[in-house]
Amino acid sequence: MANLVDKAITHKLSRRSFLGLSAGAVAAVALPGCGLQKVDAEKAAELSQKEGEWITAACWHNCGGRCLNKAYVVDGVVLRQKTDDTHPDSPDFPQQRGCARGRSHRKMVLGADRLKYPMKRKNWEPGGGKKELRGKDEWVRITWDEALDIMASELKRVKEKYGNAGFFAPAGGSGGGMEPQRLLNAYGGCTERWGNVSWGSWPDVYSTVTGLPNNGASSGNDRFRLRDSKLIILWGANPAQSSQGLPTYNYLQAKKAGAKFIVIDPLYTESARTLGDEWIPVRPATDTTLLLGMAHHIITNNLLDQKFLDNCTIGFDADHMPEGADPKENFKDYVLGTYDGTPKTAEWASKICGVSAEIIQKFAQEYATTKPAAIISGGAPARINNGEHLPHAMMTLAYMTGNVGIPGAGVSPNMHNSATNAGPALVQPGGNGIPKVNNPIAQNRINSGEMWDAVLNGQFTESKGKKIDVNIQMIWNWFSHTLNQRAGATRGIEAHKKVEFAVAQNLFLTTDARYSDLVLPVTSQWERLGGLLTGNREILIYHTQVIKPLFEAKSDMWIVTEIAKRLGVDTKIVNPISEEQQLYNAIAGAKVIKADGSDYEKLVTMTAEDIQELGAKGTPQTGRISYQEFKEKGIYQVPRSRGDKLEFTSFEDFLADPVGKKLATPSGKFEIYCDSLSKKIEKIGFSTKSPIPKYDPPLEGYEDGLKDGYNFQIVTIHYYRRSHSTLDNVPWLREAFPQEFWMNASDAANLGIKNNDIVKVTSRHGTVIRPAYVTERIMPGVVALGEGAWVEMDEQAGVDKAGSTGILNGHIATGQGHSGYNSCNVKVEKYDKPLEPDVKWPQRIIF
Amino acid sequence: MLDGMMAQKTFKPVNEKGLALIELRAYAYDVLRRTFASEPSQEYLGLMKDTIDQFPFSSESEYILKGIEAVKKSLDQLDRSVGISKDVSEELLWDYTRMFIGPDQLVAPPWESAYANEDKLLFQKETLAVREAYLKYLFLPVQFQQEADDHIGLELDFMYQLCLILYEKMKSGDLSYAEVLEDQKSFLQQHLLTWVDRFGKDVVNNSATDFYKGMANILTGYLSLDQRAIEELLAI
Repeated sequence: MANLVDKAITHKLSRRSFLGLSAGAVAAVALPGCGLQKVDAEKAAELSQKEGEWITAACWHNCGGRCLNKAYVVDGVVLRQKTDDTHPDSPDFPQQRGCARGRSHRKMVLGADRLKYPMKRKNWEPGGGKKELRGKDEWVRITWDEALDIMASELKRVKEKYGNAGFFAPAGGSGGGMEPQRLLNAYGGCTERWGNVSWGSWPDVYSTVTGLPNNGASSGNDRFRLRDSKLIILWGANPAQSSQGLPTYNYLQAKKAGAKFIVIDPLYTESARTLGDEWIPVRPATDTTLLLGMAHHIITNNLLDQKFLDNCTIGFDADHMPEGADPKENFKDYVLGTYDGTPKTAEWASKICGVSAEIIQKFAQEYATTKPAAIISGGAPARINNGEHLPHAMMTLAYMTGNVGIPGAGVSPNMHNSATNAGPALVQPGGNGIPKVNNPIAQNRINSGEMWDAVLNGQFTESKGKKIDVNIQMIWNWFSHTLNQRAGATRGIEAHKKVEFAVAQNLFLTTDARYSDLVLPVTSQWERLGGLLTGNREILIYHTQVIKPLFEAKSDMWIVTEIAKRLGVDTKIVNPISEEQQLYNAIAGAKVIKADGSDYEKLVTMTAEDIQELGAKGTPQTGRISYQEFKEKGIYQVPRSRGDKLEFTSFEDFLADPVGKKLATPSGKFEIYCDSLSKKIEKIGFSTKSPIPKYDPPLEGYEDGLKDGYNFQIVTIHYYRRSHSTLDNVPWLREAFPQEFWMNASDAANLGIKNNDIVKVTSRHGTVIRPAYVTERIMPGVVALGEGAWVEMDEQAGVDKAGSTGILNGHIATGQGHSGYNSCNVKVEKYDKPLEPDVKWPQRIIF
Repeated sequence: MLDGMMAQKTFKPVNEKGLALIELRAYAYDVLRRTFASEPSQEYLGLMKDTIDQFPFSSESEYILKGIEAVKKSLDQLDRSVGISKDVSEELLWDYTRMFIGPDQLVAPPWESAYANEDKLLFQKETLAVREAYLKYLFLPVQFQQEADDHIGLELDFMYQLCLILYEKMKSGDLSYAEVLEDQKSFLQQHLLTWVDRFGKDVVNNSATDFYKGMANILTGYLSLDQRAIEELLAI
């Protein structure tokens, strides 16, 4: 082997060549735009061997919890994370500790699969350009200038040709009024999406029956009052999975204080394992029959709280009907079958809901004879098609036993951030000061259950009997992962392939982005200035910037502002207040309740220096804590103790004085006969609901599945791996939580399916494949899959390999326009091809 | 005086050899950094077509030999008079985009940290370690904190830049050139060589073009030879 030095001397290099050394001068040899550059010695010394610092990092997702998350950062490199250690932990003053997902944030924000640069689909051209290639075309990296020019010219083109209604900007559950809509509204308006996603049929029922202007999620008892409960019924509520953070811990305190827990759920959930004394499995979408069967037992065994019914409700029996209503249309006679000839007995209910009559009666007896007893539901049981009867029946059952308005009792879907801690926020942020931009064509709102059909067929329901024509030619996705997360994703993909232009701005190549022409990389909250986050009623989190924007990612606001400039839209309307000023407004306006509960006071003391540090304009103020303390700790938590003035139980006032403190319903009482609800549903125009709760089999519920061979009912569950669809791409979480398909062992045996076999699951709307989790933890006839997996179509086989429940769920509009994910029938069979575990899948990586 | 002149004369041929080797190393790193730092431009492809034959040390490394053949095959498909055809350059652009940019699968993520930890994360402790090495020579990425410091293109650029410094030092008789060599050696051992084998294999296994398969082979072949080159230079 010859020496390289000897070889080198004879090696010839042509002069028309790479630079090598031939240019001679070091300065001339930088890589254009992407290489190393010289810095001065002072800067180098400053950056070298730098110590890191702990920064409060946003954990900003819609997970149903809210915890403190901190990141240890050395100059843009996040080395590790931790959670709340700002004070010692105790049941009465607990730490706000994060979950597997929160602690994986580093792995999301810094994942190699972040969108890094604007990219366009290779065959895209104005007006579409081989639209059928969406989802499988090649991609080309482009500059921001080119991307923004494309946005501006397509917006102009679509507006000129089809008008503003041609823009579809389907915001997410809480995304209304966000950046792209601000721009579109300032540019003449856009077609929007409506329809609640999470709460099922609760919102319209809870608000019309109680007169409270909310969906009931923050109603019930706070965590101290829960310790007064003798019996807590978790009805389709699984906080251990759906509201991570404190709720399960708070329930454990109630359990220690003596509460018994009964869990009603088709699944033996983590909450049932942790808390449950009894588990009553029930078929999905049939809970109303269980409730009616219980009501029958309570009525026929004289277990009614007649005084409560008489004083506080209307419509229970013929003697307590609102004026003008048919006296025969009362609840009691419906349950007894007086006029329809069908008594809603436990036996009747049993055949539908799958719970034995004996258990129904025993459960009814126990509930009716225990006070205080709380029924705490989740959104899940009510997340069914034409599902308004279910919450209405559940609330009625509580009214029949008088289990409302006394500490430890109640009936509500106390869930999400408020789970186990009902009541008004004790600390809250100020507003950011940004005025809304109204949509000039706000009547163009399409329900989730009709939106993809509207794109494909050009029509949607405006209200009862009123259809409106619409020609959508541009879909602008951001923030919410609409295509993946709304029911009917199969139709949604078709719709995305039909329009002339589809764009997505996101952190990753989500399903929305994959089927777009243009993808725009946005910054995560870690790369932005900071902000305040609310969670349970006792906390306010102040997160600050962790790292600089990665690669070429930009904020959503920057993107729409740059487009506005190109469109000649006034940027002061779109982007009226600086980020710094918004943050200052939120902090300076933050309020905390006084210890006596009488009023709120300012939370944060701000000096002139603090305001200057924030880069905002404002007046110094005095509050409970200093700005520097708030920033350093990243959280303020209201001190609480048993018996303090901040404890909460819904409707205590009303119970104390039902005449003087009437509810805001037409009758002033809880409305078991609720005409306003009935009229509201009718006006929306998808389905009807009687004024009293009845059993009206949900579309694609248990009965529909018996008719045509789709003999399993599927329920979709919040899944540990992700917050809805967010974090689904993190390999750590993929490894820990494999997106398994739950099925009962006896069903699996009948079909010859063993644990980990790949199964094919087909609904009337689409097909997915998944590994089976064969278990006794789910009732026979029911199967379950976590919602939120990112659609991964095997186009040849026509199956989604990821097991996205949006593919299985139907594109159906009913009731109040809510999403009915838990009424869906499927067939299950063994699949003949292998499927690699998700963790081994390549990430969706795009520059 | 005479002795001194004699001594100079004695060492001069050796230094020239050393300088020639450093020049070749700079050349090799220049080719490699340009290949992996950004998408293939027309100008770059034209240069590659004309000069790939002169990439050093094909006689010493089967990988380099194989790599040069593959690159030539890829770029020789076209008529010399029209240059690189649109089809070929688009194919190469897509191959680069798909492997190092996207979409759907980054089959060969071009960052050291993506190979150092199983979750393929960016901006990790490897990034800081690489940054520390750069800072000693007062270098930072142009896109500091936006692009991770341990991108293959930046690591190769660093080796290239050190070759230039080395050349100047050796040429001017500054004996501290040895320290630069030691730093190059440890950078190779602690960084590039810890992951480029796996990265190169990923490119070879997943590339749709002979060009990038070839360049990956040249990359891995050259880096292992460069260790030898450094040892030889240290021995001078």
